[in-house]
Amino acid sequence: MPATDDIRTEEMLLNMGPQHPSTHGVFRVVIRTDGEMILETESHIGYLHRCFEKIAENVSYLQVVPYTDRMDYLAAMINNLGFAEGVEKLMQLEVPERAQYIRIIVCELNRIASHLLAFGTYGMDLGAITPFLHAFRDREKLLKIFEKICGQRLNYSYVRIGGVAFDITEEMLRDIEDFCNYFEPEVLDEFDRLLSYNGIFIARTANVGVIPKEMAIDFGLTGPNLRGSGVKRDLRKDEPYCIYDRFTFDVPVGSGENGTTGDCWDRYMVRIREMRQSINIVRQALAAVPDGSFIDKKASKTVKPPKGEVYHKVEGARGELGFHIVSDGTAIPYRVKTRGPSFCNISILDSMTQDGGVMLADVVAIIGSLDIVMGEVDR
Amino acid sequence: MSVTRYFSNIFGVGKSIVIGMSITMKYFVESLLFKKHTVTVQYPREMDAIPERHRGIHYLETEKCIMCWKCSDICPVDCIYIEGVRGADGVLKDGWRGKKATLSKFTVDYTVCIFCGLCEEPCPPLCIHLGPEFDYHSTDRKLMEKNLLTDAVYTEDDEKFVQWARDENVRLIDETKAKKAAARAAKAAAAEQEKDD
Amino acid sequence: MNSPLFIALDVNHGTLPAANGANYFENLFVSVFGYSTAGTVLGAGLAMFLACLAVFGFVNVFALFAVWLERKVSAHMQCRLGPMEVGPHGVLQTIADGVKLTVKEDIIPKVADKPLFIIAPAIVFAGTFIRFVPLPFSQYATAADLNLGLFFIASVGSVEVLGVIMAGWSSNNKWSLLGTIRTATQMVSYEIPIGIAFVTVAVSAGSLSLNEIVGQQEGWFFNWFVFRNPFLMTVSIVYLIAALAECKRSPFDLPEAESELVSGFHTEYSGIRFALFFLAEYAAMYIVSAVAVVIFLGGWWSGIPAIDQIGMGQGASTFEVVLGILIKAHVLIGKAIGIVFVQMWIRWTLPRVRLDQMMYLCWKVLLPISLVCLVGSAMWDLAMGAFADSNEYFLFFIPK
Repeated sequence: MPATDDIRTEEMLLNMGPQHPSTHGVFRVVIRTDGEMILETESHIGYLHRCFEKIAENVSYLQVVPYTDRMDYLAAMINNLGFAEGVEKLMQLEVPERAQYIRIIVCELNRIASHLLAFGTYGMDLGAITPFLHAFRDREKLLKIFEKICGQRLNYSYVRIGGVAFDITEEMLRDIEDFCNYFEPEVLDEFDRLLSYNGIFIARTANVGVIPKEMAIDFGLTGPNLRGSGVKRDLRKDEPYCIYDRFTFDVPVGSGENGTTGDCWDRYMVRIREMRQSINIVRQALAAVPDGSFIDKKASKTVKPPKGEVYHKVEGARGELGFHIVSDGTAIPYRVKTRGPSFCNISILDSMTQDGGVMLADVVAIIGSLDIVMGEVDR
Repeated sequence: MSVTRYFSNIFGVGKSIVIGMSITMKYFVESLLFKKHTVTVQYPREMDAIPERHRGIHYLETEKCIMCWKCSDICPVDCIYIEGVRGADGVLKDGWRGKKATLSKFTVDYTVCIFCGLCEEPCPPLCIHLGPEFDYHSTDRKLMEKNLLTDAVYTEDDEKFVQWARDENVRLIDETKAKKAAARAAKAAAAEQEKDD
Repeated sequence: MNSPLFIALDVNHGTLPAANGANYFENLFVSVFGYSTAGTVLGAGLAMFLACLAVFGFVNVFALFAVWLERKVSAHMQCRLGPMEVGPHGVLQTIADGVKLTVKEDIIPKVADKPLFIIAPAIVFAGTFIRFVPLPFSQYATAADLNLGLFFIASVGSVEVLGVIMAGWSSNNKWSLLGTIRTATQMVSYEIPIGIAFVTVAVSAGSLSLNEIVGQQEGWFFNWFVFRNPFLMTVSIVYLIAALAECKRSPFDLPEAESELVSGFHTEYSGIRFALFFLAEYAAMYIVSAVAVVIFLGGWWSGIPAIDQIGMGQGASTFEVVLGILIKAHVLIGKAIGIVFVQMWIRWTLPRVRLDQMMYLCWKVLLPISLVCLVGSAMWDLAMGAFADSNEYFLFFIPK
């Protein structure tokens, strides 16, 4: 809708403030609009900064683990895993097999939980409220399983340095298998029919917020956002950590099925398809969990890595989650720097909206499709 | 846009809408007639079962505690406060007898605690646990500190007892020092006496 | 026994003057005081006031019920329970909400335009409320059977748009302003397909009076206008979609897009002012559904002649007449609630459309289709020789 020259219009400066129903956290966007068309946006972050990296310089390695939970709080085990594996790399520690399998299972379940929430809130941002509740019903089942395993529903501190905190019993494994059987064909198909292939949803998300391949790579996008633009890069396959190289699974990539490659629908669909692949991995892991110990008890009590530094990256639910740990030989880390994937993902917003053609309602769709968590952006 | 594309658009959207509506109708009818699908319960009258490993409010098995301060040290947010006297000889007149220690204060501040569960692991006699209770609320910040020795809110009387215990501790230490000094003096005097003899 | 009440109820005198569609108040209340305005001006005024009260009472009770219904319907579709505490299965929840809204603090933002802010909810509510005038609640229960009832409903309701614009503008809030602008475009645009749908029905029925239109749908249910010819069936769907947009209901709830604008044009309103907007929304839902029932789904005729004939005819007793009227009221209101349920069902399934997509839908889809249906319906009736006489043909073209 181009502005005509003979009609005098005024620009409006809107503040999509830190408190807003659909900014996925405390995120402020100052928007300059011409009616409904956006001319420019300016994002402001930092409202959830909690000095994680500074705190990590003052507490011991074991005590940092609960703090890592609280960064990307929707997929907390993956944060734990990244940090724990980084420290284990520094210490050259061997983690028992059973612990590795348990880590894979819970991390993939966490990824499913995070994607369920992303998909549910995305529907709600666009006005479809029912898929949100259905997604949360399934997420609730997962949270119940997590509560049985480690006692907490959101901030687990389960994956510790040297293994995992508690053992998994047969009953819990059965619960996980029941969940997989319940979730995989039927519920996911129902989500597809209710939301993914809904004509109005496609009209809202297809051809909206297109991120071309080169732009995605330039801005350091990772995770489902990068894969939605057609780049087949998944750390679990390209640089396997933990024991991911023992599992076979696909890496879904956006292909412009309902519009252009790299639009919001592609990113959303990559997440839905990733959930299927995660169930695949969990099933394979369930069939192969060995007996053994779940933690290297001696090493996990005294964590004193030798001097050195390591950068360890894992595939978080939102992208490449990296931990740069510098140790000076004591029990307290010298520096822990986190590369939060949402921080890089969200940096693309301002560039996407400055080209014109983005409407106000599209900003909501774009932010939702980038799936940011402010805990990760601000740390 | 061609005519066929126009109509196929309309019918495509219409069809997907009808499919979506059939799903919600299915949920509606089945939840009404067959009581399926409903996952919410009428809390607090009905509640889901609390799993065994649930990390809630702490409880302490006092008689096992050896006052090693390991749980307090590992706590990432420093919310456990422990005070007492080492030694099981009943040095403190009142207080809670553990193994090898008499405790005067063992509180957890729930405005700070993050329920991470790190305190359970390093405890040598495994006496501190996070229990199934989760409903701990109040309107006053001062009432959010729980005294694990009395299994109740940390009151002002408890604070007075702790203060008394600290003073008593200092007094006992001075007393012990004085006794030791007197004993040494007596021994020196006795040795002097012997030398004279 | 010359009291008009007995004349009204005394069916030995034949049908009530109301059935002829004459232009004076035919409400049962009115009959108490005189069925001719020439009689008593005071009586007519009192009758108007009582009719107002009755309709206002109905709107309130309906809003009470509809809010509860919406919450329960949405809950069951979303795998949860909905209100269960206040009253059995939460039936008194709306009363609790109403009480809460009544005792809330009356906040008017300092920078708001005070007179407009205060008057806006009243205008919105009035615009919706006034549409109840020609709407029948049962066979002989209309506040005023105007002989241009449809036109009245379509035109007078436009006042609502003014109220919404006032509400958004006076809030002095950029987000409310956005909601207002979206509303103005939406409501004004979608009045056109609605108007054309009304014209299609009027052309087929030969009259704009609602009672007259219902009267032509007597008999078996395939006499209903929706089955009369395929163009009318299409235009009924067009009407339903356009009516959803008029009521600002999802998928057209851009004016109050919760996830974008918090609450759109009524963000700054709280307490009773908000309650008025709320009431207006549910009243609009009812009006739109009731009009759909009246012009397409047979109005108060249940479609089964055995039920319809209770209380009609020469030899019926007073009890049977009243029973018949009550049954017809239940049928009409029941069908309207059915359409309200469909509106709620659609709301809880579909996401929101964007502004330009909504405009595309109105001007490039609904408008051409409704125009084609108008011309097609008129030509169909002409071809079938059934112009203004519905009882000659049924199931589109089979002569009786």
